[in-house]
Parts: sequence; structure tokens; C-alpha cells
Amino acid sequence: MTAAADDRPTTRRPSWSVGLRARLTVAFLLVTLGSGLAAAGLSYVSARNAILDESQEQFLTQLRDNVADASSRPRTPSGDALAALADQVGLEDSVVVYADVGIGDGPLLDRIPAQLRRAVRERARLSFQRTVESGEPVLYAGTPVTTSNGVPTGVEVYARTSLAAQQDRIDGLTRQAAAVLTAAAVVAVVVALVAARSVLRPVRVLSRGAARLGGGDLGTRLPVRGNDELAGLVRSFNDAAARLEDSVTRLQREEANSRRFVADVSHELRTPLAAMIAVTDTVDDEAARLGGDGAAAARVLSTETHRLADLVENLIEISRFDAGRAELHLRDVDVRELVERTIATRGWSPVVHVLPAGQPDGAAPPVTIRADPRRLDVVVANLVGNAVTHGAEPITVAVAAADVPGVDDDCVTITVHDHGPGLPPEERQRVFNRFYKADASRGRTEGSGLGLAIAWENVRLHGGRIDVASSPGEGTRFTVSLPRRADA
Amino acid sequence: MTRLCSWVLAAAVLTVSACGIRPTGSIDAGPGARASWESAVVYFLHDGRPYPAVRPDLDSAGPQELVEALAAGPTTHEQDVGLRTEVPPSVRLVVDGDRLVVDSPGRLSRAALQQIACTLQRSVTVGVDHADCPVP
Repeated sequence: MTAAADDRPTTRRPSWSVGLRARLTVAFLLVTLGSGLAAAGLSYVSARNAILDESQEQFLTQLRDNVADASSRPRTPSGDALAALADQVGLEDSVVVYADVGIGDGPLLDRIPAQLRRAVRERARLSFQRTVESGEPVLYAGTPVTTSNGVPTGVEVYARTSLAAQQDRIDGLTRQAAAVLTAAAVVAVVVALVAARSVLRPVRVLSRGAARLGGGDLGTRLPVRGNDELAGLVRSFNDAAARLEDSVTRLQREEANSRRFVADVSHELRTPLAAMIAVTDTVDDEAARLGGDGAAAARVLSTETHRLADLVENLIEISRFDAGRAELHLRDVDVRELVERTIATRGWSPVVHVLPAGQPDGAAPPVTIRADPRRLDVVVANLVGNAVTHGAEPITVAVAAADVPGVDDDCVTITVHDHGPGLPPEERQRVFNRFYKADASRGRTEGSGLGLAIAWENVRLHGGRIDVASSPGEGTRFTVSLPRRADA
Repeated sequence: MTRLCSWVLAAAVLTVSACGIRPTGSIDAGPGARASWESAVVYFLHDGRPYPAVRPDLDSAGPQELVEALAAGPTTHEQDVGLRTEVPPSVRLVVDGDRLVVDSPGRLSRAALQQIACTLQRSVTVGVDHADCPVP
């Protein structure tokens, strides 16, 4: 009923659908990146090892073969001979070592890792070691030289090669893997969005359909696509909507029937009642002559017949409202004048005071609005009549125009204030219900029980409203707010 | 949270350590280079330990000549790189049946004995297997 309740479905729906889409996207992305990283990582490691193994193997073989070739001639290991050997090894960055003294590339000897030197010396086997020199990966290899029958000669040959080219190839692999992963991530996001869309579209359609159904469009049906769970949900929705529409239609038909019945009955009663009133008026005139019980009976008959006629007229009026056939005949009306005339006509002038708001001297300017004078008269008469009947004096009626603080610029208000016992809060809105009786113990009152309901309908027809304020001791205050232009 | 952090840390360490070319220790890659010739080898001392030196001219020499080569000492170049000998010129090797007898007028140092043992072990088939000869 409140604004907050109406807003809730519209504010909740978008955030929910965004959440689901985001979750689907993240899940897709994680799965893709996870599997992609695992595959890329494995192939990267094996490719890197293959590249390194190949280049290392090649380098070591070259070292071993070159050293074997170079030392093919028997020589006395003199300085010259070793220098010649170093030359003949024919490897860039190589050094021949004899008894810890290097011949050839001297500075290279100091850079060779001590661990490699020790390993070559102690194991007497070909060994290699990778190090990183100022960011560049480097491969060192060393071999002892033995005679053909395996006797150590005390000569060692070390060589160094840069692995920068291999590093570049491996970096290229890394870049490729990163590019492929990025592309896969983009594809994953696109696929996730498409998947989320295909899942969320029926959900959104369903949600929109539910909102339309809630908004009163009972004919809402959604197309069923496919045969999955969502289709099942849509089918259930359609079934529920159909059943709802059926029962609402049946209720409406029954209500219309009963209203028509009331209207018909009222119309049928009208003619005999008119005849009865004519007769009772005659009897009333004769009552004085009857005297005693006869006169009292005649007066009761006359009063009740008039009340019955009023009730029937009210019922017919209500039926017109219900049927939507009530019409407004708009004219420029001075509200203050109309109120005064209504009160004067009904003979309430002695008990009801009309207050020209803010101007006690009575020289108030006219308050003119566009309204139907007959209906406005009914509104004022019903409200004031209600006050006269149920409230207590003093009863005041105030007409206020736009210059009164707290009143809308385009509104004119008529306030009827009595000083009766007041209404408890839970009763305040119910006073406009049909046949409402404030005091349940009172089976019967002078009123038809439809007066305030008719007033309410009339004000609503003008585009206005009636507010009730009441507190014990303060009495009850009915405030009618009418727009200056009823058709606006 | 701590669990998650440690997982992330482990993954990061794995990723970093799996990337690029990592340094290694010294890795054995098979037998060393082998020349196509045979040669006699004598052992001099380098930092107090026996160190081989090639003597192609003594390829077919007997034990006595090898010991004489030891007594003669390293060549100039070998001296330059720090080789020396403790075998005195007075040492003689006598073949007594299936035994080799080292005959020296004075007392031989342990290093000198090692030099002789290693040289003979490499060059001729003798039963000197307790000599502490470094591998090269």
C-alpha cells in the first residue's frame, strides 16, 4: 500500500540479475584461467627444459669433441703446448687449466664457479653448472683431459657460453602463453556473458511478467520456450496467472451481479415508494383529525416511508458510482456561498457556524472553484448532517482558500468540526465504509449509513480527498480538499 | 585467510621458480674428454699433494727411468705453475723378482713415497694400491 512496498520489486530486481551475471562471469573466468594456466605452465616447463637440454647437450658434446681433437698429438705439457691446446679447443670463452693456472682466457678462470672446479677435479668427469651473471644466464662446463687409456694428465679445459638466446626463446614462449591466456580470458568473458544472458533472459521476462501481473494486467502470459527448468517455471507462472485471472473474473462478475441486483431492486422500489409517499403525505395531512394513536401511527408511517425513499435514492446514487455512470456537471461555484446555502436550506443555521477563515467580520471574498454544485451540496450536507447527528455543539464549518498556510495552492478546503466524543484511530478510515455504524450497539439510526460513503465518492469524483482527524475531547474534524479545477 | 594466503604464496613461489633459466649446482655430464694417445705420467707435488705431469717420451720406460724422471724434477714451465719434487737424485729403484725396492741413502719423506707410488701405479702393474693419489 505504501510507496516503499511498491518500490521494492523494481529496486531489487536489477541488482539481483547483475549479481548472477557477475558470478557466472567470474566462475567462467576462473575456470578458464585455471585450466589455461595449468596447461600453459606444463607445456612451458617442458618446452623450457627441452630448449635447455638441447643447447646444453650440444655445448657439452662440442667441448668434449674439441678437446679430444685438440689434444690428439702427444705433447710435453709445457706452457707453449698448453697455449696451443687452448687455441685448438676453438671455443669462444674457454680456458685450459693446469695445476690451477689458466692458459688462454685468464679472467675467465676467476669467474668459473668454485663448485664446478671442485667437481671436475674430484670426480674427473665432464660437469656443467648454470649461473646468472648480471641478469644473464650463463652455462659453464669443464672437463678433465685423460690419455686414451684413462690416465689423468692434470689438464682441465673450461668453457663458458651465454644462454641469452635460449632465454629469449623461453621469454617468447612466456609471451605467447600470456597472449593465449589473455585471448582465452576474453573469450571466457564473452561466453560467460552470452550464457548469463541466455539464463537471465527468461528470468527477466518472468520477472517483468510477474510485475505486470502484480500491476493488475491479469491477462499476462509468457511464451514457453524449450523444455528446461526455466520453461517449467514459466509454465507454472502461466498456470498461476490463468487461475488468478479466473477467480478475479468470477469475483468481479459476482460483485457486478450483486451490484446490479441492488440497483435493479432500488429502481423497482422507486415507483411504489413514490406512490406510498403521496399516500402517506395525504395521511399526514389527515393525521390531526385522527387524534390519539392513529395520529402517532400516521406520523411514524410518514417518517419511515420518507427514510425508505432516502435510502433508495442513496442506493441508486451509490449504484451509479459503482457502475461508473456518475457524471460531473461542472460550473463555477462559490464554495462559501454554497456551504451557507446548504446549511440554511437544511435548517441547521442555529447549530452550525460558518467561519470565513481568518476573517471574523464575515466580509470574506468568494472562493470560486470548478465543481458540480449538486454533488458539492450533497458532500457538505452529508458531512454537516453527520456532525449534527453524531457530534456535539459547537459545530463549525470553515472554508479555506489557497492563502491559508498549509493548504495546497490549487486546493480549497472545507473543514467540518464538531465537539462530539471523537473517533478511535482504527475507526477513522472505516467511517467511509457503506453502512458503517460508529456505535455497534445502535442497531438503527436516523441516517441511511450511506451518507459518508456517498460524500467520499463525490469528492473522489472531483479529484479531491477527505481527511479525518479526531481525538477524544477535541471532537472530530473532516477536511475536504478539492482542486480548484475538478477536471485537472 | 591464513590458509588462503599460504596457498597464494605457494602458487607465487612455484610460478616464479618455474620461470626463466634458474642457476644450478654442478651437474655430472658423463666421462671427460679423452685424448687419442697414451702417455706415461709422473706425479710431482702441487700444494703438497701429488699432481700428474705427462711424459710422452717415457711412454715405454721402465720403473727405474720413471723414478729417475721424478728425481730430475719438473720442467721449467711445470715449476712456473708450482710443481716440485721431493724425490732426491740419490734414490734408486731395484727390481727384485716381483717386487720393486726403493733404495735411498737417506730417509724419504711421505710425500716422496706418495710421488713414487702414484707414478708407478699409473705406469706399471704393481701392487701399490694404498697410495693416496688424487684422481687427476
